[in-house]
This record gives sequence, structure tokens and C-alpha cells, in this order.
Amino acid sequence: MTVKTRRGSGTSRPATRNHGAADVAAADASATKRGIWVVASVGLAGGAALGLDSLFAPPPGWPARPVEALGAGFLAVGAVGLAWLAARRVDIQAAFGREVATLLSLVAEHGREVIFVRNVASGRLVYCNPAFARMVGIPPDRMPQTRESFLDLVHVDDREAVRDAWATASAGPATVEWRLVRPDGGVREIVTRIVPLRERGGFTRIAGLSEDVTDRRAAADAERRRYGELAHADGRSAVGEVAAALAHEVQQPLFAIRTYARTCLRRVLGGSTTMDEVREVCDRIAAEAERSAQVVQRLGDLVRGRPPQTRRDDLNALVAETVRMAGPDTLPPDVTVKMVPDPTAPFVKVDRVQVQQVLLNLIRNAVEAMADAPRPRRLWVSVAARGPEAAVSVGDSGPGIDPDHAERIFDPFFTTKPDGTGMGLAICRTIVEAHGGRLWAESRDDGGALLTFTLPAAVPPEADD
Amino acid sequence: MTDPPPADRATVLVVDDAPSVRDALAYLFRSVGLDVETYGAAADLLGRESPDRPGCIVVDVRMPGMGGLDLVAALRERGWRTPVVFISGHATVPTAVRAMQAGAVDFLEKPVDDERLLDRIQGAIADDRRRLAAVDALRRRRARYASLTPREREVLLLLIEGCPNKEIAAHLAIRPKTVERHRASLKAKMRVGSLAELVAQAVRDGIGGNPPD
Repeated sequence: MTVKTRRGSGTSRPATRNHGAADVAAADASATKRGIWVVASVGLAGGAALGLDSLFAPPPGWPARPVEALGAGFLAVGAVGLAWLAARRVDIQAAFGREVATLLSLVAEHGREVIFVRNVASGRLVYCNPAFARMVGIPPDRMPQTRESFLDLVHVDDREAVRDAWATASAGPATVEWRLVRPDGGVREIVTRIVPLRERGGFTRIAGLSEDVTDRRAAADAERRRYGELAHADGRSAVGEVAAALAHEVQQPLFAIRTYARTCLRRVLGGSTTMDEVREVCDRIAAEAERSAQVVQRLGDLVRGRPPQTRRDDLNALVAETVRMAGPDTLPPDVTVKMVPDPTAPFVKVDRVQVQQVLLNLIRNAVEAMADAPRPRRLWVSVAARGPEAAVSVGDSGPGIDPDHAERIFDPFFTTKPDGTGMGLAICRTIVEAHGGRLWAESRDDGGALLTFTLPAAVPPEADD
Repeated sequence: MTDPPPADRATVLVVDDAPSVRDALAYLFRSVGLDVETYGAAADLLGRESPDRPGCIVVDVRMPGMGGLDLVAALRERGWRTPVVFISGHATVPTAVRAMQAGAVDFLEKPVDDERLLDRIQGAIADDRRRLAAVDALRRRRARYASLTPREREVLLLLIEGCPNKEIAAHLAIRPKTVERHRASLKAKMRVGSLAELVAQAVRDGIGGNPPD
């Protein structure tokens, strides 16, 4: 028993605990105070009913679920009320009757919620419950009583924050996050809400509610890491596709470089060349090397997630090139691809590689969607002027999109494929929106799916360049 | 190596959508004395007349629009018999099989080694030279056959059947001396040295029986 009262320590056995906090000298119980007590008891009862273990409000920055937040609110009100009563040494039995007092005591003594009351003036611990002792890892009879001795348990980097919280507690409820260093060396992350207890004599005590969030944060961190890994993994596979296409693109200048160099060398050795020829070949080699360097740089930018390098581009040519890049792995031979250019489509200002990545992804999705579709399997890739924008559509003769999924398919992790990560379309939408465009899905009249993205028209070259 | 006379110089037809590759290949082939024509798309080559000089086609399998395989199939349909060397950036077994079925003499995977490519090209051109020579000789012989008189043709057919002079004379109701004259005229017109050669060539060219081609 760790409650500091005039009666001193009692026993920690629950049977006697309906006296610990409650069996204190009764104070006068005005009608308003009675109201507070009712709120306190309702709060505690509500919190208990909603499940004591999981009802603390999450720390700042974590998504709160409504039930959890509600439960935490109940608990906070109830526990602070209880602490206030304990500090006031109110006869709860007298105030509420025996059952309520028993319930409140049970909550304080058996709940996981860590409750304490500290005297502001003396800095001494007035009350703490068994959960507090369990959290701190010190038996109740050896619990540090003074504020300074308690600070020894606070991680050295967090002591100032804890002191500040104490010092400013009179201003109103405050929340402080700190690390507890237990005597066994374990470090726990604690979130404590400090609530000033106002009494007739003024502000003399604070009540605290603490929660050990170490495990929950570890779990959330792990989830976030997993999310990050998945996002990266899918990003990498998309990058992998583009990389294969770019490898093809870089192969051409490299082949040219080698052919120029070796042929020229043979001719020089054979004495059948002129200086002009050597100069011209060297120029060509330099130009081809420059070309391959650009391809490699774009790939590097993509992998590193550098800001996009946009330039004015002919969308028809870009789309045609990408369809060609798609390759036999992406486009099985029995899938008929029809590319429909639109000569009136405006030029766009885009990062080629990123737009290619989007289009390759859409094509791959369409082909996968047609895996079990009846033959012939057809794929349409079309470019179209669309007001001030240019649009690219990828249509397939697959089963189409379930209307319930039409918008969800862009959500991260949403997938209908057994081995999908659900990141592909989410990444695509991010890229398109970063270009100022939109990406959406609809069903074709004859049943297949149609995915379309738009890109704003580039300003005319004279204004642009 | 001295360049052959222009009429007999070989031409390489390069079809590749990548200008870098096209230009580099052109430089490579010109460096060994070959004439080069480059085409950026399959359709451009389809607009050309079938070559009458020895040569070879070097074509990329994957191109926008019509790919290399379809191009070669279309050329074969138009009677082109020029040998084809395919170059592929992403060679797969099915593509290679289709290429060989389409009549490729070779299928090289990028990155292509330039000397190996030259070897294959020269081999293909030598094949084409031989083919063209044979075609040319046949054409010339056809002209010679066409120059024979009806009587000479009758004599030739009977010679192929193995008839001796007397039998031919009886069959055609002419004198053996006249048969002798026709035989001499046949050897001269067909530019052969002996009767055996005349008959063998005529049989090979399908005279008197079902033509071999």
C-alpha cells in the first residue's frame, strides 16, 4: 500500500482496499462536489466497462480510435476524480454508498492505469496505486517519496521536461512524455498527464495518470517499418521494370560507342584512315557517351527519388516508346496492342522516366487483369487531347473493375492479386498528381477496364525555353 | 582487300529504329568496303525494289510499328531472297525460333560483337553472291534455250531420252547428217563442250521432264 495518508500504509490486499483511498476522513460534501463525484464514478465505471487494458488515449501523433478515446476520456475524468477524492480524504462510502466506493477502489487497485497524487508544495507523493509500483518496478514500501528522488528514475535527458510539467501544472492539465529508467535498467517510454487539483485552499496537489507506451510504440514502429519496406519493395520492382527498359536504352549508345571505337582503331592500324575521319568518329563517340550518361542519371534519380526532371515532350512519342519498351515479358505475344496516337494532343512537361513508369505499370496491370480473360486479349493505349490537358488511356478486354473497387484500387495496400503488394497504382497516382494530372479508373462499355491519366499541357516553347 | 567493281559490290540494308545503332553499323560495314543503306522503320524498306546486287539485311527484331520478324515475312512474300541477320536486344527462344523460320541466316543478341557480326555478314553476302550467280546463270541458259529452233528442241528432247542419232533421224524423218548438224548447233548455242554436258545441264534445268523449280 503506497497511499500516503494520515493513517499510513495499510495492507495491499484488495479486501482492505476499499479503505485505502476511500476510508479517509470525510470532507464536507456540497452539492457541486457531489456532482463531481458522480462524474468521477461514472467515468471510472465507463472506463472499466469499455475495457481497462486498452483504453488509454494514444499519445499525440497516433491515430485515436473513437472508442479508445472515449474510454480514455472516461478513465481520465474518473481517475482524476478518484485521486482528487483520495487527496481530499473524502469518505467515498459516505458520498456514494458502498458499491460505488468498492468499484472505484477496485479500479484504482487492480486496473492497469497508473495513478498518483503528489503534493505540490512539499513535492511528496501523496498516493500511488499498485500499477504505479509495477510500472516503476519498485516495491511500494521503497517508492521514492520526494520529487527529487523520483527524478532519479527519469532518464537524464527527460528530467527537464518532467520538471517543467510539474512546474506548470497549476496552469492546467498537461501531458509529458518521458523515459523511465527502472532499477533493473529497463527503459520504458511513459506518457503522463498531469492534472492540477484545485481545492478550497487553492492549488496544492497534482494528480497524474501515466501509461507505459513502450510496447505499443514498438508495435507501431514495426508496422511502420513494414509499411516502409513494402512501399520500397514495390517501388523497387517498378523501378526494376523501368531499369530493364533503360538498360535497353543505354545498350544502344554503348553498342555504338564500341563499334565506332573498334572500327576506327582497325582502320587507323590499317593505315586507311584520315584525321578527319578519326575526328568525326571521336565526336560521335562523345555524343553517344553523353546519351548513355543521361540515361544512367535518370535511372539514378529515379532510384534515389530525386525531384523529377521535367521537360517538354511529345506525349505520342513518349507513349509509343513506352509501349515498345514494355517488352515480351510485360506483353505476351497473344495480347494484341493497339496504340492510338492523337496528333492534336498538346505537348506536356513531364519527367519521361516517371511517366513511363506509370504507363508500364498500367500496361502490366491490364495484362495481368486479362490473364483469365477469353481470347483474343486486346490492349488499347491511346493518347487524346482533352481540353487544356492531354490524356493517356489504357484499356483492356479483361473482366473490368468491380464498381466497389473503382476508387479503392488506388489505396496503398489494396490489391486483388494474391501476390500483389497493392502499391503500384498508389505510386502511379502519386506520380501523376505530382505532375498536376489525375489518374482514375472506369469500366469500358463492353466490360473491360479503362485507366486514364491526364497531364497538363506544357506552355508553348517560346514561353518555356 | 581490293574493292570489287561497283556493279558487283555488296550492299548491306540496315533496319533499326535507333539512330545510334544505325549509324554505327553503317560505319562498321563501310569500313570493310560494303555499301550501306539505312532504314529507320520496316515500312521504309518495304518501299524499296528487291535488290539485284549481292547483299544482306541486318534488322532489329523489336521496332515500333512493324517488327523485324514481320518485315522479313513481308519481304519473303514479295519474293525477296536476300539473307537476313537479326539483331535482338531481348532474345528469347521463341523469338529466335520464329526468326529462323522466317528465313534468318543468323540471330545475334545485343550487345553484338562487331567482328562476329562482320563475319556473319560476309558469310551471308557470300551466300547471296552464289545464289545470285546461280540465278543469273539459269537466266542466261533460259535465254539460250529460248534461242533454239523448234527442230533443235525436238532433237534435244530426243537426246535427253537417250536416243541415238539414227533413231532421232527416223523419228523426225530427217537424214542422220542433219541430226549431226543440229547437235553441233545445240552444243554451240548452249555453250557446252560435250553431248554429255548438254544432256546433264538440260536435265538439271528441267528440260524434257518436270522442271525442278
